[in-house]
Amino acid sequence: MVKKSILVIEDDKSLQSAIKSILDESGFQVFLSCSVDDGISNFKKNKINLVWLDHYLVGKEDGLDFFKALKDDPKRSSTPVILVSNTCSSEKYQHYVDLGITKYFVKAENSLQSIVNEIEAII
Amino acid sequence: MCFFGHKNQTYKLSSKDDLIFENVPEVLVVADKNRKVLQINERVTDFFNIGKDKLIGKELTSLPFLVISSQRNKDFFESLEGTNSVKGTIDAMDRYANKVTLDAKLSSNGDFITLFLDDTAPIAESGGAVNGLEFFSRASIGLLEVMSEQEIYQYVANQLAQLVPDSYIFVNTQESKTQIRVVASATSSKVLGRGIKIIGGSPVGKSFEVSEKAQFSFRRGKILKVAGGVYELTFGTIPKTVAVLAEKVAGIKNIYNVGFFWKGVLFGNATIITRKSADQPDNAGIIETFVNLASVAIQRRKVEDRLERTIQELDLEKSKVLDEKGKINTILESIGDGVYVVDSSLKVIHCNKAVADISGFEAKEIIDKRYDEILKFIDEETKKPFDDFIADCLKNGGVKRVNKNINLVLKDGTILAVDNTVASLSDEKGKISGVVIVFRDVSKERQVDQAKTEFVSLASHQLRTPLSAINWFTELLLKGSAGKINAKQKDFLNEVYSASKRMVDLVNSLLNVSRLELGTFVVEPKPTDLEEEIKSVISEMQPSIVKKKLKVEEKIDKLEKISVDPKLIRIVFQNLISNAVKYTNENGKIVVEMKDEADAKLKAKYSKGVILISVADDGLGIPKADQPKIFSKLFRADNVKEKEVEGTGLGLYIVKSIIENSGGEIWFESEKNKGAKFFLRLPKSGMVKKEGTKTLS
Repeated sequence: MVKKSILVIEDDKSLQSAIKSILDESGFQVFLSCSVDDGISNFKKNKINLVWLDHYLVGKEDGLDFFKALKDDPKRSSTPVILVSNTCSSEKYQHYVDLGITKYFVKAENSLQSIVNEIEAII
Repeated sequence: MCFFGHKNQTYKLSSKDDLIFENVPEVLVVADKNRKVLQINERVTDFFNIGKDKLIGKELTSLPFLVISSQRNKDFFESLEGTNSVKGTIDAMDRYANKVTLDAKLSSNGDFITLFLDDTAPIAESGGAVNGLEFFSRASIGLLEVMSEQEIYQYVANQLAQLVPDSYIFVNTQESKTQIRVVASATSSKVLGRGIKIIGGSPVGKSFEVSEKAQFSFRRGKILKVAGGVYELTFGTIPKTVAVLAEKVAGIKNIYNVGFFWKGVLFGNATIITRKSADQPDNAGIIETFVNLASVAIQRRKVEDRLERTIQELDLEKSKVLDEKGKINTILESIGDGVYVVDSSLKVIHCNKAVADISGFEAKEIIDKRYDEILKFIDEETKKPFDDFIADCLKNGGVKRVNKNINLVLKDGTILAVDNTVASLSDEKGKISGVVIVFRDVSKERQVDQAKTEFVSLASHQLRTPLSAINWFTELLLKGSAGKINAKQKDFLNEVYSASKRMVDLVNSLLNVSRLELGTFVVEPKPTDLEEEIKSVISEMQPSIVKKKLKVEEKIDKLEKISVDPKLIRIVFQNLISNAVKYTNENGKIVVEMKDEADAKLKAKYSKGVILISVADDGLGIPKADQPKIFSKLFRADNVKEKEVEGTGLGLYIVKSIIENSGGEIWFESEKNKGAKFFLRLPKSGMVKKEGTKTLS
């Protein structure tokens, strides 16, 4: 069975490694990015089943920019994206909702396992 | 003098001699050459109050009324040696045991000796006719210059003494209970002094009480003329004999009283004692008119005094009011906050210096204009005019702090962050007559608030990220992602995990507090089933409830949905119910109630009705000393701290902020070790939508 692949766009290296660890254990193929540009290029190079997206990222652009770019690409716009962030304001969050974000998790309030469970339900 | 009869004869006076003997105005004593008293006239009884029978046969020089030890007497009697007649003075004691010095004449014809004792000085003749009209004009004009009441009485007494020579004037005033005595002439002083004593001792006191009859006459404004002597006049306590004596001895022919009146009320009297005539004084009419005039002057003086006092009091009051006004003005002008007053016609009627300093408009530009014409307040967010609070306060009264960030548009067009408070002014009847608006420059505070918001946002980001890392790595360790762990390691990791979770809760609570305080939280009301929310919170707590074997009783009425922000209301329920769970001992009981509170008294505050929710437990309770602080930020009661039950001291503070922001009320009843019951009232009108930048978490 082909492993489902997840693109994790997260700027904090330590969190990245924790996320990668559990996703690996859960049998997913993981691609890691820390900026919007890197995320887009990773996305284009690989077949991605789901995007794990943080709001604040390295560089000037944030998760919303990535999400907009994704939604603008007809070939990829249907890929589910979950927002996993600690500090997304409600105003920003509303933009994600309007653009059709699949799910939103507050990092500090959700265990990795609970997020993985949700991912498994989505893909 | 042959009426004493011959030597060695019995001394029986012929009726003619007797008549003369008894009518001599002096005391007359007849003694033989050995100075043994043979005869004495009746005057001795009147004068010395001693019967003549007790004196006959006594030694002339040692009669009982003579002062025995007096050298003067000794000299006087000795001076008769070798001569027929001597004049001099001797010392005696009068009927009142007063020592008096009397003129005396001692004569001897070899067989008999006579002694005359005379206490009456020659009566001075009237000091010349006084021209009544002239007196009256002069005295009346003088009256105008007299200042005080007391001076008027004194003046009247002095004037009367001038008008009636050889008189003794008393002026009594009822108010001051004092008496003014004036002796009209120097020569009468001694005599009338004696006369007064005869009349009844000191004139002040009982002897001067005016009889009914006299008062009646006084009230008719008349001089009281009494014929026939002193007695009938007024001094009712004086025995008739004494009164008669007054006439005979002192030569007092009449006593007149004239009253001081005003509108039928007697308030004083002048008594004129004269020796001149038994008739009225020559100038009786003038005396009467003059005293009447003085009465008017006194009354006028009284009125003027009263008026003066009233004016003084008014002046004092006025100066107090002015002082007070000055003080208030000084305070108003010196405070740094802008203060202005709008009257019921919506016009600005007063504004202090700070209004001008802050706004840039001059007071004259603002005063008399409609309240929103010059000073314009706008909503900081929407930039739209925001001054409804002024008209609202004018309509509904009270004191209100404007709970919104507002700006004042300054004269130069720039805007300034201000904080406004408005308070109604009521007139004596309680009707709202205007409002006072107080505003102050809060631009610095707003900047601080802004910095605080940014800090909180930054801190939340910075704090949550490492906490997420702790959580997630602990989770991975527990999961065995890094290899198998033993039981002890698992316990320790669980402690780390739970501490980290608590830290997340604390950060969330702090964020909520700062959002509530900054007013940056969002309120998004939507029809919410409160019962559903309560049940959901209870079920969320189920693990703890089961673990502590708590009994949760729900007495929840079916109510219509109300428009509240479900997130906010959930925070409220979570805090109250989790507190009940935390602070109740094992096997304890929690009761959650919700009902429609249909109390007529609440109608005024909650026009659309109100829901009463209560959460009761039988746990630790709140110690009385801690109760007033229970809703304070970061406060935790001593008894819960001792028990080391988890808590941040922020929950109830957040709950109270949310409830009060929603127009509701929260309170509690509690007793230590018996539990606590928290009540909250939620208006059915629901929460008001509020745009903000942050949701509460």
